Amino acid sequence: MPAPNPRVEAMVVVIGVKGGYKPLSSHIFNILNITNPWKEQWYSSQSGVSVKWQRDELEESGRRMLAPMTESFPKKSSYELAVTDFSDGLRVYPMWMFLAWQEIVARYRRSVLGPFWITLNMAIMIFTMGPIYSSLFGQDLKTYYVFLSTSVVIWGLISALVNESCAAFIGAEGFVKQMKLPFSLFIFKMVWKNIIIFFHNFLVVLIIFFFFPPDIGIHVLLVPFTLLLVCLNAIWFGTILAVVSARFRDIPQIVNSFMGVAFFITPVMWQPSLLVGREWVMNANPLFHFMEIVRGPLIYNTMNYNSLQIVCISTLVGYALMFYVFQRHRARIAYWL
Amino acid sequence: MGLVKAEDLVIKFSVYGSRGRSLKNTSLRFATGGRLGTDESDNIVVTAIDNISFEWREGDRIGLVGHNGSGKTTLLRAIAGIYEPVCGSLNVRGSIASMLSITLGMDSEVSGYENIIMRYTVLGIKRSAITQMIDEVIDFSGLGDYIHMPLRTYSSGMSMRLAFAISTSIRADVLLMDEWLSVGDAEFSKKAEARLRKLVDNAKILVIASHSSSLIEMVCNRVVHLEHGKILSHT
Repeated sequence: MPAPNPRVEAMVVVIGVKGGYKPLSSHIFNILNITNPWKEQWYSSQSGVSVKWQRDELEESGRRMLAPMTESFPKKSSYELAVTDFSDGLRVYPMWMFLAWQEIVARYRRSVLGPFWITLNMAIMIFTMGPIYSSLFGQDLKTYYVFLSTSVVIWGLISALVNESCAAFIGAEGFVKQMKLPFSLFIFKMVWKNIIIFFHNFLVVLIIFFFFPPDIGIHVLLVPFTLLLVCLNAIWFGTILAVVSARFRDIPQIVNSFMGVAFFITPVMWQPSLLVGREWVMNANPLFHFMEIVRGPLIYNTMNYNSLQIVCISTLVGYALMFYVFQRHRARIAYWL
Repeated sequence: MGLVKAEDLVIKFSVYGSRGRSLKNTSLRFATGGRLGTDESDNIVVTAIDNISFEWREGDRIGLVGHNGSGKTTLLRAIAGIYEPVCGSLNVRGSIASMLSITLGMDSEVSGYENIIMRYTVLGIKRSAITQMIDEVIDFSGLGDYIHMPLRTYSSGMSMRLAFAISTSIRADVLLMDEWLSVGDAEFSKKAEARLRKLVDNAKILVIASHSSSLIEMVCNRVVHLEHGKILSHT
């Protein structure tokens, strides 16, 4: 049997000017005369990593998913490198899908309920909160259960995506310092893991739908697409949070606090229709729009096109912002961990 | 052009959260470690690799020696692409296998068999290729029925044997290894030596950081002596 010949990676790192250049933010900080927390002026941001990632087409191909080889050493711009990082992250999807699943399995190993102990938390919350809050809000228990279960499950997904993204690079320190992996891999792994957990939790929703059937119509077919939109937004937002959290270690705590407060400000426990006269509170809250585009088609058989518009715009603007932040600081992430 | 070429490579670490007010502005010398200094915002800066240049070509078996903290692991990581150079340039041509930690990706709660799959997945090997390689690895490690037991039931020597078996089945153009080659009992060591020789012969460039002079003598044809991030001697 021929010995395996996996090709791991090839990298060419070409650095430009010694001393580097001053980033725009430092000029702004100087003008405003405030301390610049990003001040690292002695490093060159012109590092070019020239990598030509290609599928291993040789006779022992199929061994490797990443098979970069370089033939020459042209310097690549940092934007190109950021995009390459993302495309490589997408290409190694078996790796991050496997790692995400392993993380979930590790959590419920040697437990009585198995995978459904994740669901238990959600179920207890819904079944105890339901009767109390439905009478508090003066709602019919049946409609309130349907609303609460879907809202809590979707909120669980959104808040987990936001909170866990802060720890995406910090938690992966072991991996980052042992081998060169695309940073986007850790973001995709986090998103995929939370999608799996979402579908576990969705079983509770399905059970409630069975007993209290909601208004399911044609719009329910939109739900997979809106879920995908939520994930796409989680990717850009998560990347920015992960980069910033790797540098400033109080960001995860701040984000956690925000999400705790956001749970009460966003219509998760209370119906949006109850907020009369202060709708701007909801409309100014982006999390509300993310919840609406998933919850609306699912239980109300409508699509809030205003929310959908806002989400689409946020996706486009967000990715532009993410690529700016990512290309600027990607080379330094390993130094921060 | 060589396969690994560095020109005036500098790697500096800013130690965040530390204030260098107690340090003098001139760099200080200690017995171990990279040079310490301060930057503009008074954070302590460690210069791990201080202006080194080298060119390694196909067929070189490089041994990195030096005190603890002289920059061996940092240099290995720089070649692997983990730390992008602060100044200077580093060119690497070819596929890189960074075996800096041979247990990366292994989980102690999972069986040895599944750990092999996990380790290979983390190295980027596809499932179809794993199934071809796994039997040979199990056979070489000599763990027998223990392969289906969780890794936490293994002794440390047994898990090292497994990790060694997996890591030495990888072929690459540039192989980076960091002080992990002394594993196993006497009987295993003989098998391991043969396997290691085969691994070394298959790699175009091998870079090993080690404190063991016997290993360096056995495997390497060039020795790079590092101290405080500078190359002292380079055979």
